[in-house]
Amino acid sequence: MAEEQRMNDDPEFFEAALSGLTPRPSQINRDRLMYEACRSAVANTLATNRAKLRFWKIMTGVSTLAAISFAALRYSSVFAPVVVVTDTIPPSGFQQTSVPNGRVERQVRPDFRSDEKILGLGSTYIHQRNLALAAGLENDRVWQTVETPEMAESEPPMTYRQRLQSIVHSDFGG
Amino acid sequence: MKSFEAEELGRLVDRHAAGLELFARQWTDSAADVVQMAFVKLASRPPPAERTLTWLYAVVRNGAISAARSESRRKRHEANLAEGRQDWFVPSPDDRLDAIEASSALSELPQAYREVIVARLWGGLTFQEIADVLEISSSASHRHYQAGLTILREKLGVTWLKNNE
Repeated sequence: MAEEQRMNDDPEFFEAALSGLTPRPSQINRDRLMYEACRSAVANTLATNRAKLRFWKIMTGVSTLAAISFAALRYSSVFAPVVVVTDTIPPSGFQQTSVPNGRVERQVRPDFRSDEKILGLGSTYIHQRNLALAAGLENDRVWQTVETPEMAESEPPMTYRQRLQSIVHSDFGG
Repeated sequence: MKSFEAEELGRLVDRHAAGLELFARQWTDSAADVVQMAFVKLASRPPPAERTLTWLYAVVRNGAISAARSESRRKRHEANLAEGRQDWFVPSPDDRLDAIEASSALSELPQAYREVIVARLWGGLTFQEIADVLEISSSASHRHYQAGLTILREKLGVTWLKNNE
């Protein structure tokens, strides 16, 4: 038979006695809980996978559109109409050369990959600039001109250096 | 859900479900539903492992408070309180305190004290974890705990305990 005894003044004694009380057993249906938890976890995983799938579908669509756009741009550049560009040669210099009418016509196909058209620079200039950068200004190869049909018929090809010298001699009486 | 996670969930249910229900019972009669929802939520969106218990207590607390806001449940809970049908603990001949008296005294405690005492004694949370759940400071949770214990000691007959030896 239980009898009452004076309690220890130490609060821990009361604390231990209180914690010794057993809470009412859980009323949760454990099997149902596990089933619901698994179903919820699977549903969450499926939702995550669906979101990932949607993301990759969108990304694939965007990249396909980008590829089609670039292909279309390239295609339109290859079959672009030919533009005739007329370069006017300065009269003082080029009157000494073999170009009779002072005008050279060339056919240019616009190239979206180059800013040549924007800058108004000819392909010869670009070519020679590259040669000059690679071989140096003293290399004669750099100063080699491109023969035009008119020049080939009338005179032998001149280098730009020779042209420059002839211009200097004619203008300043050198 | 992987098998390890299922085992882990089962272990958590076995170990903490009763304490969590006791914690939720402070606010609502549908404590089992609230705790079950918390475990289901845990399975679908598990928090970091080191915060699992704190997270569970926080979710149960929020769920129990929400459930208590339901008018019918609140009225039923109040009626139960008025009738003194507080059976939070299972009476046992080994208890050194009377389970029914302890339930009654506990239910009459200010809520701030009661939350801390239940979470500490039957949930096994540290004062820091309790502070995280209740969003108070650790020292405040300790103060509430001590104040609540003092009141309980006075209500339950401070100096006398049953000796079963």
